[in-house]
Formats: sequence, C-alpha cells, structure tokens
Amino acid sequence: MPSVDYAIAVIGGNFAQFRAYCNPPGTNQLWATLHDAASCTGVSAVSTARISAGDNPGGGGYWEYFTRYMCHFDTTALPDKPITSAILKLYSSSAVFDTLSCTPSLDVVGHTATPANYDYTNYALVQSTLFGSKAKADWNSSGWNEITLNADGRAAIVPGGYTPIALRISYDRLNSPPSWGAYKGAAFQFVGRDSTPGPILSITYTTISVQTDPATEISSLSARLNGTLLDDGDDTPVQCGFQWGKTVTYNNAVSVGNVTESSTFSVVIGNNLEPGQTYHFRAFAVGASGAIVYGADRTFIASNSSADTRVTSIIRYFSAGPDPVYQMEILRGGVGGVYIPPTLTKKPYSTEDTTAPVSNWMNLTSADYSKWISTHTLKEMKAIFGKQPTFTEWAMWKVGGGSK
Amino acid sequence: MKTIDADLLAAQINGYPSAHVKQPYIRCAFTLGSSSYDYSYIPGASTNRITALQHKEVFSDNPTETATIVLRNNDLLVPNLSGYYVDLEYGLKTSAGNKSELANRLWVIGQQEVSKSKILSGKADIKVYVSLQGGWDVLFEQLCLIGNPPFYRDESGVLRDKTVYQCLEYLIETTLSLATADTWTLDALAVDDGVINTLIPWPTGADWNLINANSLDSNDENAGFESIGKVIMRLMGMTSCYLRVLPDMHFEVVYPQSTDAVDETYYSSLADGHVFYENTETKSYTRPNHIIVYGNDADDWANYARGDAYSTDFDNMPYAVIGIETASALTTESECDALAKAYLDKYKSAAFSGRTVVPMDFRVELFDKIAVLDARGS
Repeated sequence: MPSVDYAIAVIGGNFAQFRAYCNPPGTNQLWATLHDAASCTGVSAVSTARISAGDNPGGGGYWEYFTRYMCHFDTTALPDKPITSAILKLYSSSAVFDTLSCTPSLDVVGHTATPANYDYTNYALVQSTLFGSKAKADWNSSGWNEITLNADGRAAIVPGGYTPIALRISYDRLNSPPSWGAYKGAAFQFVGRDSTPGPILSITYTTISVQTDPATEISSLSARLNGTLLDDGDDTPVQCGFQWGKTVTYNNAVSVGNVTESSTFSVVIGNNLEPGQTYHFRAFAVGASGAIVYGADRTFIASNSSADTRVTSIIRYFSAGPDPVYQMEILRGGVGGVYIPPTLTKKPYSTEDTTAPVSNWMNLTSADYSKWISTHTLKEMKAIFGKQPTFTEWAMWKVGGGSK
Repeated sequence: MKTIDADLLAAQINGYPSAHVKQPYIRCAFTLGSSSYDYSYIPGASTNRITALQHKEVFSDNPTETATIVLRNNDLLVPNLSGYYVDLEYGLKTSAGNKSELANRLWVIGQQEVSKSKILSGKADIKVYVSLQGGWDVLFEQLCLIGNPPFYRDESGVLRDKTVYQCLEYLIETTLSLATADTWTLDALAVDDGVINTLIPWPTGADWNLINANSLDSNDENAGFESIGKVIMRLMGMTSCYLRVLPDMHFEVVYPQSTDAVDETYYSSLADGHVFYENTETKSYTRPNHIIVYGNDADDWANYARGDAYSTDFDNMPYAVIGIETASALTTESECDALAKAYLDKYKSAAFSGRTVVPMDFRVELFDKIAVLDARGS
C-alpha cells in the first residue's frame, strides 16, 4: 500500500502563546481565565514550539502561560483513497519537563483556522476531539516522537487540500486544571517551524475499492445485501462482507469470505428483521495487510405489514375446558376492504364442570409434555426453544409464561 | 397500548406463582339498574360459572364488538340476563391478589339455554350462552335522527359549519346520548391529521340533504335512514384518523402514523420476548393507488380545485387504479391534496393484513402497532 510523508505547508505552522500576568504578584490566575481566553499576547512565529502550562520561574512575580499549536499539512497531492493509517511525527531537540508532577500528555486535535488566515488570538479555533496523544513518559526528548492518529484523526485528513492539525496539553484539552504550584510547570518541546526537521504527517492509504449495491429480495423478515469489489489494491486476498443495522452505527456484521477483483458478492440477512423497519448497510473489504475499506451507506425497508397497519381486531378466548385456553387473536390491517375474517382457534365450548376448585388452572402433566415431544421434530423444537425443551420450559411456553 | 397494573404485567411476564403457571381472573358482573349478578371467574374458586368466553373487537367498514359468554347452569340459578350490561375485566392472579384490566362495556342482547347429558357420567350438562354487543353496534342500531320530522335533513343546522371532530362530538354526546338515554362521551381531541379539526363537511350554503339524503326517495335503491354509526364512518373516511371505543362508554380519536413506534413485539421464541403461537402475513397492492379529489362546485364545477395522492407502491402496479371523490366545500388544491391523502391512507392500511395468535396480552388495544419477529425456518 502507498505510504507518503507530508510536511507542514509553508503557509501553516505557527506558534501562539497566551500569557496572563498576575496583578498583584503572587496571585494565580483562575484556570478558566487561562483556558477560555479569547485573546492573547506575545504572538510570534518561532522555530520551535512549546506546549506548556504552569508557573513561570522567571522573576518579577508569578505568571501563567498556555500554549496551543496549530498548523496545516500540505496534503494537496494525497489521492482520495481510504486511509489505513496516519502517524504524526514531531522532532524534539530538548527535554520535556514536568515540575508540576501532573504527568501530562501531548494531545493531537483538530482546528478550524484556515491556511490563509490564522487567528492567533482565538483559541476557540482549537478543538478538543482527540486524534491521538503522547504521554510524557514516552516522549523522546532528543529525536522523533510518533503519534498514531485514530479514526477521527484519519477522517480529518483532507485529500487534495490542507490538513489542519493542532496540539495541546491534556489538561488544557480536558479543561481540567492541574494542581498549581509556584515556579512549577509542565511542557513538551519540539521543532515547530522554520527549522528542520519539522512536523511530518505520514499517511498510508489503500487503493482497495468496494461498492455497496442495492439490497434485493426484500421481505418482511429478510433481505439480500449486495456488493462489488471494484479494486483489490494488490492487497490480496481481500475478504468482503457487510455491516448492517437500524442506524449507521450498524451493530451487525457478516462476512462472505474472500472475493476477487471486479466480482460481486452478496448474503441474505435476517429472518429476524422488523417489518417496516428501515435498515442501513454498507459493504466492507479487508485486505491482506489489514486495511479496511467501506462502501457507501445504503438503506432498505423491510417490507410488510406493520409499518402502516394496525390492530384492527382483537379476539379474546377463554376456556376452562379440558384443553384450557387464555389467549388472544390479533388481526392487523384490512381496514376498508381486504379483511381477513377471524378464524377461531378455540371455539367457546366447554364441558368442564368448574364446580371443582382449580388451583393451578393449567395443570399440565408430564404426559402432556411427552405427547407434545413425540409429535414435534427437533427442528421444530429448536425454532421455539433452540433445543429440546425441558418440561418446565415447555410448560412456560404453553401458558405464555416467561414472556418478556 | 394500555399501561397496565405493574403486578398484572409481572404476572403476565413471569407467571404466578411460577413461570409455568398462569391463573386467569375474569371479572364479570351483569348489571341492570340495582340488579347485579357477579359471575366472575375466580382462580381456585369452586363456584365459577364461566366455562368459556369469546370477545371480539373488530374494526372494518362496519365496526363491531361482540362477545359470547358460556355459563354453567346446572343449578338453574342463572336468570334471564337480556338487557343487562357487563364491564368485563381480564386479568390474572398476581402476587398482589387478582388484578385485571377493564374492557369496553357490553350489553346482553340475548341468551340460549342448552341442556344435555354427559354420555359417560350421565350428569346433566346445562349451560347458558349469553350474547353481547358493544358500543359500535349501538351506534349502528341507532338511526341518525336529527332535525325535525320526518328527519330527512338537518334543517336546523346542528352540524352546520362544524369540523369533522365537532360533528362527531355532536353525534356521540348529543344524538346518541339522547337516543339511548345514557351518557356517551367523545374524549378531547389529542391528535391532528390536518383534516379532522379543519375540514367542515357541511358549511353554510352546502346541500343539507346530505344527512339521510335518500331516506324518502322510494325510487332510490339506497333509500332508508342512516344510522349514527354509518354517518360517523362516512365522516371518519374523510380523515386519516380512526375512532376507538374505550371503557366507560367513551370514544377516542386516534391518528396512526407510519412513524409511530411499535407498541408490542411478538417473537417466535420464548427466549426473545412475548411469544406468539401462530402468525400469518398477507400483502397486496394498494388499490386504488391514485386518489383524486375534486373540490369547489361553484359555477357547476367550472372552476374546480383538484388534489391528488399516489400510493408508494404505485410504480409496482401494472396499471393505475383511480379513485375519485368530490368535496364541494373545498376550494384550494392543498385542501384537496390533504383529503386525497386521507382517503389514500385508508386504502393503504387495507393493503396489508395479518393474523397473530398470542398468549393473553392485557396491553393490546385497537390501532396499536405491533411487530412480529419470526425466527422459524432456515
């Protein structure tokens, strides 16, 4: 699979710093003042960046500062293909320190500044969704530090454009103040701009391409999902399948095995769909390298009654006879014409003499159970119970007990 | 879907006293004035009279609610119950005693007394079969006698300039209550399909002969007075709503919509939820699949307004099946479109049908939306 490194764009890369001077000296600023500041002073473009929070050990009284880093990577040459991995590389030339003992991490996030117009005074441009992070303990103070971007980070990459990446310390991202202490601080330092080696975004993408085709054979309970493997990306064998569910979070997945390039594939799902329910699905393909590619989302509606039809008849049955019944027949739809006349499952006849006390109304016996077992196949039993039922399980079903 | 007593729901779900035991409790007291006969089915009692019962609520072109109750009468103590009413309650024995859910009121319209001997024991088998009917049947029995004799038109204008809902309110709370010397109530409107409380079927200036229009025309094959139920069904047909009978002689307007959540789900496997024993699904195309409503008959339809509605499966049909309705009082295309949609909704609901047999579920009521999940087969 192709893997390409991208440097920050010349127009990107900057250093923004907020300084809050205390007055009178010795009084710390509130955390909110630091975190939510809408403006800053001391903006400059520098060759190195420092992401830090804490008390400045300099003279002249206390002051706290906060630094957030924004840049754009020039990904204009990146083709619009599924990205399988992305690693942010930061070169450090000096030590990380943490005299606050707050064990911070350096967090990668996005930002909304444009390449042509950075507004250094507006920290609200820096976002909070975590793309990846590097713990202080893992920070290489003299060399490359690699941070693997997660799915959100990969999704933020802009093929054919400029990719915004920002950095902030974990306490800042979470808006959770560390315990302050005089002349204490925590910082990560790396080469930010105008010096080499600057930040690098290393992107690996795949040319595997899979297409989600419309569902067919849609019934009330099942449907056939279809897809096509357009390109195997020379990453064979490629295993294909589908994700499906009631929402675009899917929640279900089914694999159909290895598929060759330019071939269609399909699978029948369901037997437990809800009539009238809208289902989302998408094809997926997994290359030998582990690269996963998804087709576009599609939907189908499980056909049949319940979407628009309602209960139009209720027939309640009770019989205290030798084959006792306490059940109901529900008819749906048919309003205005196509109406199914009720078919009686149990006629209201009984020869039971109910003068005798009936403590357990349905007094099922092992003989009843044996008779039922002998007249049903194992497959029929599995359809209801998943196995051959015990007497108690069968009796529960018979009286409708245990129904959720 | 009814919200039922927690103990009753627990017994319905879990059984009582164990999961494989359910003990029915059916409250059944026949009442006429101060006279009352309590023939309730009590779990464990030695004096139960009900040996069987069938109670049908059926909504169709001619809605009806009927019941047959079979009573043991070997002691010959069951009197003539004709004219009595009963408010049946269905329930179970629960951890908190017998709990039940009230059903619609039913009136005894007749009974049969059957006597035979049991072949083996030689004992007398004497039973009374009580036939009952409900609110819809009363509506269809009572003629829509409004206005002045001979009641063939609404010349006093009691329905004039009323919306569909207001017409229903008058017909149920005034006309029906007067006819039966009882108190019937239409619950306050809690839904709106854009028609039921907007459309005025008989505005000022409209043809007042629409009520019992052909009652005095001996040459008309449709001659005869309309019942209150028939007029109500005609009115409901103009809307996407339905009328539901409630206990205590109340009626309620409901507006089912495809976006409504499923009220109850039944499963083929007990392990998944409330089990069903048997299920049938039938599907057919919506017919008619194209409804046209013409409105504004001023100037002899020279400047008519037209509304259209198409079924979603219109393209699947080999040909169009057109249904045409007229609504002279409507003057705009949007009004006619809304009415066309209302008519189509009724036809759409007729395109599907199904039948499901389940253990007694005390939550279900007419126009609930249910789903059936069948894992049988491979």
